[in-house]
Amino acid sequence: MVKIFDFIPLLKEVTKNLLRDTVTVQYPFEHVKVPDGFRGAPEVNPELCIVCKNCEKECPTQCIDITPVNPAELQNYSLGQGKPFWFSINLSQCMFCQVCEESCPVKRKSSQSAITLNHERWRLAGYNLEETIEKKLVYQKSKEKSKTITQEVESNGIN
Amino acid sequence: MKISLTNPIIKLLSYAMIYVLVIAGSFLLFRNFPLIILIFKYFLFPGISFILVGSLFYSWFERKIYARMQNRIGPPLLQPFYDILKLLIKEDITPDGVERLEFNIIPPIQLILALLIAFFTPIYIAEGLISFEGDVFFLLFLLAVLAGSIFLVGWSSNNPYGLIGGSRAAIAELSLEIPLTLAFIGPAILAGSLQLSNIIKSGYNLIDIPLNVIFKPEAYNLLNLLYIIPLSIQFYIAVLSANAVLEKVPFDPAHAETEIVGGWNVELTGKKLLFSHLANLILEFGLAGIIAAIFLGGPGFWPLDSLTKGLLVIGSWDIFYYFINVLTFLLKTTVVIFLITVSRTVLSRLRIDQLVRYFWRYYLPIIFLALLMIIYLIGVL
Amino acid sequence: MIKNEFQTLTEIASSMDLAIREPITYPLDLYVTISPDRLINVIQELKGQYNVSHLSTIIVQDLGEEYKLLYPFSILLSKGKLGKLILDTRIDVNNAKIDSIVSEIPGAIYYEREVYDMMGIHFKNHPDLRRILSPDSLPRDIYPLKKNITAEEIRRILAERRREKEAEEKLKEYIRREQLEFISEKSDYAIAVGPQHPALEEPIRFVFQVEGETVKDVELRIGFNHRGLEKAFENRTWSKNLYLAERICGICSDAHQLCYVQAVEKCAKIADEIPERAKYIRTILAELERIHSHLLWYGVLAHNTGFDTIFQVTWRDREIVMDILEEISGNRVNYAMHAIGGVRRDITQEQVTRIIPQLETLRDRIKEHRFMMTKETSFVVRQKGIAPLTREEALSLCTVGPNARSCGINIDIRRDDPYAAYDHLSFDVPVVTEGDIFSGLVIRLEESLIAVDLAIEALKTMPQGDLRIKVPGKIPPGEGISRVEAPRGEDIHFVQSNGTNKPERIKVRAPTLANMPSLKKRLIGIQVADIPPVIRVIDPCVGCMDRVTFIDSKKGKILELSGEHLISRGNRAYRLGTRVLDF
Repeated sequence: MVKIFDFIPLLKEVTKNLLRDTVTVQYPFEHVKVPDGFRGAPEVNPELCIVCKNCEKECPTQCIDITPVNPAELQNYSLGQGKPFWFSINLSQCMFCQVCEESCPVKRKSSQSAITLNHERWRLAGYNLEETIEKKLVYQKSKEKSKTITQEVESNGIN
Repeated sequence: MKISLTNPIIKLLSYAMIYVLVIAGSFLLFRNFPLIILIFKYFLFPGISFILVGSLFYSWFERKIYARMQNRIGPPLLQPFYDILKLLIKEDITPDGVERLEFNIIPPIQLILALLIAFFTPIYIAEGLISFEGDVFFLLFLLAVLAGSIFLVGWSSNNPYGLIGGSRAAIAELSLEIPLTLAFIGPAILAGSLQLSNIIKSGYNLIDIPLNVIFKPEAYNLLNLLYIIPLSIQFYIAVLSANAVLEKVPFDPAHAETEIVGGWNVELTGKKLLFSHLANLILEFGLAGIIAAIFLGGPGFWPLDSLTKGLLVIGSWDIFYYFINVLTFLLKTTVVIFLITVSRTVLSRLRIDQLVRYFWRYYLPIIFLALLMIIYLIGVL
Repeated sequence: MIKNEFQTLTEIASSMDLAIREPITYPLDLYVTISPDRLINVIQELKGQYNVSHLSTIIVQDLGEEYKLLYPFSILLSKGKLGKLILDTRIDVNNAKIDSIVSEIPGAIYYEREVYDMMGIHFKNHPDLRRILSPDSLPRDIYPLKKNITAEEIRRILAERRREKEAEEKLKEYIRREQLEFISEKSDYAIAVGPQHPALEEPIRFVFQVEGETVKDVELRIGFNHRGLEKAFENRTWSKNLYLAERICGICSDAHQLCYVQAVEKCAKIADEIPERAKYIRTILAELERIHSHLLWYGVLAHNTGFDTIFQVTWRDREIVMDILEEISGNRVNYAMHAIGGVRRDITQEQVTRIIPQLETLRDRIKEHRFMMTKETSFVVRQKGIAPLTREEALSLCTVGPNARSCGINIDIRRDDPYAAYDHLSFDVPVVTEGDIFSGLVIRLEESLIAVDLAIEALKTMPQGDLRIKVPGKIPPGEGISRVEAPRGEDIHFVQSNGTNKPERIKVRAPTLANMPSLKKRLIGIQVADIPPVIRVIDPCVGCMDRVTFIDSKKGKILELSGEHLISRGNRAYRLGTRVLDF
């Protein structure tokens, strides 16, 4: 209304907005739908992991840490399970880039990766920093198999 | 619409009901003590308390409509109240190098001025709390003093942003005074008096003229409808000038938030900012009420007078009549505030030189022409 | 840019008697070696005879005994192609002086200051040779990029200085001197804008000298978002650098990643073997990012002028693009779609059928925005005729991108130096001649519509095929230079490899630095109220601009001058834990 009919260009948009619902998603009470390919937090599947440590090497932020664990400290451990390792992911350092999933050799053999980015896991806020490091037990069944896969992958070049 | 306490409309109605009952109760209780009634008049209704509650409500209303027009949700009903509470508990800092006297004393003075302007608003009868001959001019004088105080605050804060904001506010005030004055003078000429209550009672406003022509054709012939044209032009310019006084987009280069970080109130914090902010809200309420009074007929809707008068009389108060008057007053003020909000949504901020140019080159001649048209029509009819 | 009658760069080089560096792998990137005293003459000849005026950046490298300086010039060849003629000069370490080219090419002023800041090369006859990116408390004789000082030492010196009172006093004195000198010369008082200001999204500092409401002069300081990325690039492998490259900037993250990937592919000489489908996907992503960036831009422009309705409405529509990007790449920012040799993810046919209707809706919405913004008088009157830039000024100051196109320069890297799949797609390039803020608005609106059309066309005509080819972990030694049209202009990356799996030198020049001289030109003479829109019109992305710094040749040790010496918020600082120090 600065000059006489200035309010006309926006009038359509403004009246439309007055008459329809708001686009705000009131987050804690309503939920946003997340697509399937969304890169959430990584999680390892202990059944498929062969502990080749490829993801640890390829991770750009070095947030994956695979350390051997003394079997004496575990309960319910039987020798047939394989050598145990703590597979820990530091979620506060992870940048959700999916390189671990791409570099996992299990994916090449069976098209299902041992470490996947779960698209449902993105509500990661916590109250203290210890919560951001997730640990899981994985077992290495045969060391030679892991080594051959690692060498094969290395010779094939950049992931 | 669900009936529960979270629904803002239900909340609003319940708060309003409680408030009305408290006021009515306190007046009725002390109806035989004139001194106490006088104090209640100035502090409860239609005094400070009602004005505060009204301005908080209209602040919410404006922000809610603004948000809805942008497809957002907007604040909850008590948000302006929470803002005031928040400002009360913040630290009050006076920077180095400011002129301490002006800086500290002017925000409360602004609040007092704004309240004074709001006291003129007619709320339940045609007279406001204060009413005398020539009060329209006095109002404009108070607005000018307010603008001067804004400049002083901006200048005395030791900050180039403050200085720029203050000077812009002073320039804007200079430009808008004459159109605003002329906009108020038009209906005053028609009514033949400069007192607000007489202007309302004379019945020359945008709502009463068509009603008069329809319902009382023997006293008002059809040509009276021609008055609507200049009166609506003056109404339009009055709304725009009110926008400029209240420093709302498109006329707010004085405290442009994204350009000069707040302009004249950049160094105000805590209670001083509270007084400034409250002054702005109360001014909005008061100015919208006065514009509604002059151009839309003030409280009351005279075809309903015969129905509502005399229904519920206690002492010398005609309670039901007053109640309906207050409701119509609120409705008309809502219309004015709605227009102010629409112009805020739909336009962008002007630069100070563009503001000056628009007021002097475009609005002033238009309003002169409208005034001339009124005078001519008075002579003819 | 005026076309030459020559068809290839080798013809031009031989006609000027320049020594071409063999072997020539990409005929549009030609390296010629000249001696430092011939520099000015060669540039004058290029300007006079071959209509060259655009210098992309100045790249400097410390080779121990000598410094290598590279000057990439853009030449428009007869078939409409834009070639890069790169002048390679060497100067001795002990006598680090060279002629300044600012008299010929005024736009090189900040590039030379940067080289001086980082390496200590003194440019003779430079009008204003001072530091530009390093902090004030760095001692005068320390140049961060040189090999005789490690990053750890610099960090130690800066930390000590900060603890001393002396540094604080020096800083205060510097600021006071800067402002007083400024004020007493020219006008009444000075207004400082930044580093924190509601009109700026990222930290820059301007000190304006004003008289009344008119700006008389402006002093510009950048470097607040300086993160040490060029050093950080060197300590990571080629594939890990992909993720660092995309974090140079949040809004043009895809452009930086794409440019890096193309530069590495050129260095490895596999740029022609990239599968077609990968090229189309790269194009789609680049165009979607362009739409998102332009929508953001005009929302913020409207907000700066008080027009919040447009801000809310355009950002609501930007959510459509963000959702599409989330579906394609898995994330709303930092898409990480590119890999050396192709792309990492596919766009399935089902996704394509879902995306195209959303893009059609977006096109209608952008048309509504165009109607709202160009017809609303109170908005237009704040933009028409304000801060204009003439074509000659823009050419001499080396402006790039939509700013250049809004001044009448018809240059677009997508059309003139095509990369990805742009040579298969046809599109218009809008050019406007006025050069003020309104033309910037119009250009970006048109570009968004064209980008929507391009994305739809690329989605429909995408061929089947592989997504990536295998690339060895060690890139063969060589150099690679590539540029893309980021939403803000020309983004250029230079990559040098020495045969290992980590780069030797990476140089990034983001488009906002190229637009800074023209910003300074525009700011003089406007009113104070117009400062935010004028700063906004060049679309400043300071995160892109400030990424350069320290290079330390001693590999393996330290890196970061991350948050310690940065003056203000670096919320894009790359957060590194202590484990990375074990590289």
